[in-house]
Amino acid sequence: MLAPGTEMKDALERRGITRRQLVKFCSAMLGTLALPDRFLPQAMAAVAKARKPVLVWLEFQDCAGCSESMLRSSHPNVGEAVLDLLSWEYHETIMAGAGQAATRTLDRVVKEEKGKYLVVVEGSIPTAEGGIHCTIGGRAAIDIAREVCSNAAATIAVGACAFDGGLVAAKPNPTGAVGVHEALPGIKVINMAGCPHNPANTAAVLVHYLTFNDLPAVDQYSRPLFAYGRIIHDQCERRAHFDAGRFVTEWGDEGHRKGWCLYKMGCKGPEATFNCPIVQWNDHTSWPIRAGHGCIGCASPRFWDHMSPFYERLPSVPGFGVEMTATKLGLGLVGAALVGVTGHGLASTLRPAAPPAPPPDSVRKEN
Amino acid sequence: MQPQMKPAAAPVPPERAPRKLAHPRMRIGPAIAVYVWQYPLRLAHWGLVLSIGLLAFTGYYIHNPFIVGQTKTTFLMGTFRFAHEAFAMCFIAFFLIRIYLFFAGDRWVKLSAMAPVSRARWKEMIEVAKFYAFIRPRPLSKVGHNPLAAASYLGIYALIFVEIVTGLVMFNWLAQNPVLTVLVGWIPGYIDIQNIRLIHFCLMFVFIAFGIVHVHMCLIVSSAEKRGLLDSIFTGYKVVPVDELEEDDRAAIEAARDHRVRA
Repeated sequence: MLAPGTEMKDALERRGITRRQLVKFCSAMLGTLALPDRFLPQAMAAVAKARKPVLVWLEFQDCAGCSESMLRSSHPNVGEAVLDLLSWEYHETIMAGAGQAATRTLDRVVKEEKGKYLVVVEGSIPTAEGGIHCTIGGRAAIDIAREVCSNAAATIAVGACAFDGGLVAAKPNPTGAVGVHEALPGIKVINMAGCPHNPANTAAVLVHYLTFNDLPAVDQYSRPLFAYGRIIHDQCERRAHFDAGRFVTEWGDEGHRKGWCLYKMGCKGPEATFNCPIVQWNDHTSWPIRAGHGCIGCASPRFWDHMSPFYERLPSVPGFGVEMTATKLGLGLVGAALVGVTGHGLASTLRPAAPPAPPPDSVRKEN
Repeated sequence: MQPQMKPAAAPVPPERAPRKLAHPRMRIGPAIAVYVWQYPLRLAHWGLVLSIGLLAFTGYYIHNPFIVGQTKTTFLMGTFRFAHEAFAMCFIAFFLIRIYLFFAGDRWVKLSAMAPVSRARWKEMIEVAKFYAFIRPRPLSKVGHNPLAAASYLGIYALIFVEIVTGLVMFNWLAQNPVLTVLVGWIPGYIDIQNIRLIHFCLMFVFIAFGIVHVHMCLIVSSAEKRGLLDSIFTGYKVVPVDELEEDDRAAIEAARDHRVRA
């Protein structure tokens, strides 16, 4: 591993990475960030001159899926990202050190690089019972996060769990799990929501940080607008089938084999915002809807609770059990109204004739 | 004593007696046609009826596309969504007309005449309910709405407002209109977009059920009181016995007549 302080250009040259590859990488990042190509020289210069900013990757209540996703990133590929673009001093899943040595590394970064290093948080932070549901080296996750994030230059929360608690915070949330934003109010966090996060977007945020020394513009959930600003439905390659009314009605039916719209199978594309259809996954290989499965809205807030059932258009009606759909309930209401008025109408035919109206003076009294 | 008594009415000549023609349960006496529902109110009513029907049909297709296009040239969902959004704009316009009439309409459609705000109105609501429950023989006849109907309409208008707001939230989810974002863009932060959809969908059934009950009640009351209740939503006029008119009703009718005579 190169020492922190080495210029990126030298580091890349030493690894045999040509200028051409660097241009390609920076172009791809600018494309992801939706920035015009006049920023290319600036981004190139920034990346080449970057003195290997130190990065710390914290994992709390997570499945390491976001780390796995990052390791599949080729923009930059894992070798470049881990060894050259940034100096990853601490990452529980891939670091060689263990135990006391690893903890000491983290302490050293917090002390020596104070205010200069980047933190990536993966996984939710438990708050119930004083946060004892996730401890590392005897310290509660919330204490570690507070110390490391409050001394960092910027905090990037990757994945649904670090964003808003994700799966861990889904009902009934026994550990009181919350996302970084909620656990550490007052600390500037950029949320890379998604289950997992898309490494291309996270890499783009890092490049944006290197180029402009600032984080990109964010939406109301502190998610970068370049990645979370648009509805999946509006960018979907199957949108034409939606507008035409060509829908998959059963898994494996003719429409499914022809690649028709998955709306009737509960696809949450019309609800979710993400740049999945554009950036795609695993080196732009594919993404869920291309693979024939509806979107589950994994980059949306509290998606496990709000977007489920994943294969139905609408959530279950609260208080009626999971089998009761809104349609059944509504048709029941309309049916009850029909039966009610029929019964009332039949009974009204048996109503005895009203007695002659009282004289005018008593009418007003009665009414 | 004798001179103070009014002279007895002249006996009706037998050849002119209309008794046989009158309905046995109908009161004989002077009655007038009162112009209760002005044409903007009837326009709003029928506009809402028509647009709710079309919105329910197109909206249900959007929820569950029951026709699947089989040819290459269909534009089914696009057409249904366009129709739904277009009728929704008409629906909002008719609703706004009705809201305007709450303040600018005549005395029987004003908000102050409909809201169950006084103890007397609550008592009258119970009387109306008694008629529907076969306890009271005659319906409680009013020149405008009876208090129970008025309260239920206010409830439906409140639900229509919720339906419009949830619809605009979903419309703006895709349209990203700056004005709508200011008006309703903050709502999905509190109620998730999927629950907004659920509310919007469930209310459709409430409106259909309300429509069924509403028509039934109108039929029942109209046939019991025989004052042209059902006609009035087409013609605007109800037939009201003169002796049942309250003082301010009478004053309003006379003022309207004088106004028309002057004009």
